[in-house]
Amino acid sequence: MSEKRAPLIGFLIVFVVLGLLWIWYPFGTPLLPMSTIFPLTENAEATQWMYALVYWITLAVFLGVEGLLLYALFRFRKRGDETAHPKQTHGNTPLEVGWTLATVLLVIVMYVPSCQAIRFHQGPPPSANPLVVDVTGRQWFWEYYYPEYDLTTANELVVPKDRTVVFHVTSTDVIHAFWFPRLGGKRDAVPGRNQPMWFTPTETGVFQGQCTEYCGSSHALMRMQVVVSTPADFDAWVKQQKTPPPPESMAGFGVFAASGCIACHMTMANDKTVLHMNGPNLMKVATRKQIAAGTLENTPENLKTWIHDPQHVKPDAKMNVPAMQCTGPGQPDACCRDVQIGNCLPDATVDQLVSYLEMMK
Amino acid sequence: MATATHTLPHAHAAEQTGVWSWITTVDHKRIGILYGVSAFILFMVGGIEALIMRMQLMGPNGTVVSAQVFNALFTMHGTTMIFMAIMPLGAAFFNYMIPLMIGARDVAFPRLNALSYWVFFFGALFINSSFLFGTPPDAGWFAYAPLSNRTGTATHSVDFWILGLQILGVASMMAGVNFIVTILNMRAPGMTLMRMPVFVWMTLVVQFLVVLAFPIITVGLVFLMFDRLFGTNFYIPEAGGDPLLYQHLFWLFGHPEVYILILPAMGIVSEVLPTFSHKPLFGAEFVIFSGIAIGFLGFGVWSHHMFTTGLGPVADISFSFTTMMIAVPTAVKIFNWIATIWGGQLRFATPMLFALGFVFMFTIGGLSGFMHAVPAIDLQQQDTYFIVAHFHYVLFGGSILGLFAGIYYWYPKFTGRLMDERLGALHFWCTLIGFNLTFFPMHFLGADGMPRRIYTYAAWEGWSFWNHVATIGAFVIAVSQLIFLYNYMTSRVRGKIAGSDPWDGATLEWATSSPPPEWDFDRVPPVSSSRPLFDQKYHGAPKAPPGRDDGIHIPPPSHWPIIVGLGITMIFGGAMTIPAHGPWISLAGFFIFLAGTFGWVFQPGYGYAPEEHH
Repeated sequence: MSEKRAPLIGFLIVFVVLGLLWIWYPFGTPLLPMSTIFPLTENAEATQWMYALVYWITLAVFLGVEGLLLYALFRFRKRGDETAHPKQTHGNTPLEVGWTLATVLLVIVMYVPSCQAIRFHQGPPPSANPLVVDVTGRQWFWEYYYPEYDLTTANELVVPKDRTVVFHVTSTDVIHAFWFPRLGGKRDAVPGRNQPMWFTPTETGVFQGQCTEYCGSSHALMRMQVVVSTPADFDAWVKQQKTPPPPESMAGFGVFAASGCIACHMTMANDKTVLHMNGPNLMKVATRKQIAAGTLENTPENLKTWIHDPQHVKPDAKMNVPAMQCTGPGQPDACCRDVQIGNCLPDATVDQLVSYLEMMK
Repeated sequence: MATATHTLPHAHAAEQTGVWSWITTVDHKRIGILYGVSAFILFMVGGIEALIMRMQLMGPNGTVVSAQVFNALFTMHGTTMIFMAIMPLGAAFFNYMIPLMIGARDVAFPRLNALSYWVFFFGALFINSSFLFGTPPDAGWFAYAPLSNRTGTATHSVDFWILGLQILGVASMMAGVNFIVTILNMRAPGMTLMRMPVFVWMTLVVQFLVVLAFPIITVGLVFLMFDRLFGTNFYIPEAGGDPLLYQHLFWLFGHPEVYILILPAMGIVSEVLPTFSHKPLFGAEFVIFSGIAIGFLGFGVWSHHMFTTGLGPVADISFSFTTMMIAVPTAVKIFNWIATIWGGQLRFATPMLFALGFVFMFTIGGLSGFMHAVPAIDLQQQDTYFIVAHFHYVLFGGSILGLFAGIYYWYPKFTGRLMDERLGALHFWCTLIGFNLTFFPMHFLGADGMPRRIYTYAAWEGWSFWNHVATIGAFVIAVSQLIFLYNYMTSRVRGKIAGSDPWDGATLEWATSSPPPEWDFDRVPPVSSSRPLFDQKYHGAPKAPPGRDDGIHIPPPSHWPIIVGLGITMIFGGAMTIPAHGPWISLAGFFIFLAGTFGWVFQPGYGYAPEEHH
């Protein structure tokens, strides 16, 4: 093989491999919890349609342009027997105008449906009676408030199937982004702003989401789940969430309060009055599948690990309260942040707290 | 006038060796080398930061570094590569090549040129010194408020970042003005604007972008600095400030910045492809005007970085339109490059390989960019690895490959010797393969929902395989840079002697010796076309007569730029100590700056090349 051919073969291999991978992905990639290309709502499907259009057009452009480049390399490589300079062409105006117009045309083909998708996504939600959820991004968990039920919960969002959900997304600290890929595009949670977003889930199940705007140390551990249930299950869930804690838990509440947890977490109420506490609402924590914003499964062992050494589970988590130092909702930021060691609660206390939280259902 | 200048004291001819000669040099070529060497060192620093990140992400639940360290790594990787590697690598070429390509003997303001370098040098030292204080910047390379406000980041890390960027901005602005004046005023007789090489044109566009875009980020960062240090409320929502104002200011700078990074590489490729095809650049006017169009449009697209922030449908429809329109001049360039090759006699020397790699990879970056120009798609792809893949295809597959093409192309001009072709080809193929192994899978990771800037992920998220592949690719890239380094070093001694015109070039830099004398040209060559040297060699265009001009005017070395640069760095850098310790460092810096400027003004700026010995 002559040295003059080697580069051509190299470029050809790269071209073929990349082209094949490009074609392979939409057919061959497995369904993953955060996949963006397996839509479950009409909102996500509108995106998907647009995506498919652009995906195949750009693939065609890739094959055409790079193929042309490779063909030119092959055909016009120096063979060593040339006697004169090649023809010194300086340009060709009709050709320039031609490919400029062709590009403009191709852009328009994609721009027009793109505008329709924008109108659809950002237009009014297709329902007169949507379920409204106020979403607040926090370092590093998600807080949800259902005005219709005067209900506050965290990280695990529960919505009924086939009812449009309208979110009002905001933040109380830094910018986060609220995103359940299979249910639709993301929306930034910007402090001081209330951003609308909607989708209508059409399939029951548990779907994964994650914060996608870098928000500090534990940005990677700001996950969330959405549980789409049947309307009946949803109603049952609401009813359960509104049930006050069992009376036998009162002993545990004493420990909970004495250990300082009460400064940031509420277990006795989950209505509007306890919105925007420093930590997630825990009144129904035992009903959730995960703790620490999707970092750990919700088991007694994990709860124990989490309470015992939050910094290890979640770097810079604000839950590292040495007992009794935090005294009120206004103060914890100052007193929680600088402690880099684990909690100084004794093991027996942690066990008591875990059994208390296990009762919160 | 001539007699008057002769009565001024003559400075001595510049010493050519020793550390002091590098510190005091005002020769554009030596400043170019300083820029290049510094930028390459910082390129390796940024690369090591990337390698550590890739090791952390090689599998789920990585334990190589902590979350805090990882966040500092991606912040400094981005900041370093953009402001301290790619920009100054471009500056290295502007410095070394522009005067040679326009037939000038230096830039318009040689000492200002040295000052630009020293301010850049101190700025880079300053921002990286944050590692020594244990507080490297960690708010991301765009440091969105309120995460970058004092409530979001209490340590000095963000202060290092803000003030470091301000210092680097000063350097870029000074260089911008310098090169605009140089290109507009110092071209050889006969070199009209449309006869300028396309690399010079792209440089000119870039300098206008620098001069127009950097003031915007300066304002954005001043607001942020005031919020942090002096308690103002520009971006503080609780006090009525607006975090999105920061994003607008940042991206109004940030998008032109993208073109600041890519246009020099496009210019280099527009020089290399014709040379190795034995043809002129096809449709040079169209390439030039599309470069200008990209520069203009670049200021009208910034909100495509903000589709997810909820600017509303009208903004999204408008900004997606301007963004998609950028595809038009970009496509025009790519078509013209292919048409340049078409009908040529292609030599696959290393510069050509890199230039072709640029066209190949940059096209992919352009196409993936088109995907998220569609707001609906962007809502899925924004802040995922898809974006990471896209901008690495543009900045690595584009800018870096283009800059490597430039290094191989002009190395014989810098050193008088050619780089080894076998090692060059090895470097190219390892880089191309490593690059695609690293970044092509990131498209998939992004479409599989992996957010960028996460220091860890769980196994059940299913991102392990492609991350593993990407990490392997990153190490291939790293090894291939070592091949380059070895080739660069050894070729200086062992490389084939190049002569003045090793590639059969068409532009003026090949009309002088390699390396060129301090005064660049013995006689400024006459120009009557866009390919002056080609026409001299093959069409009998008039050449410069033999011998050397009398009394060639070159500036003497000066130690004042480094002193003024130190002063500027102290003024800015000291600002972060003001709330706690008072303005003493800034004040001291101000006096150094003042003294330096004073010395500068009274130092004679006239000198002459040593007389020719026959």
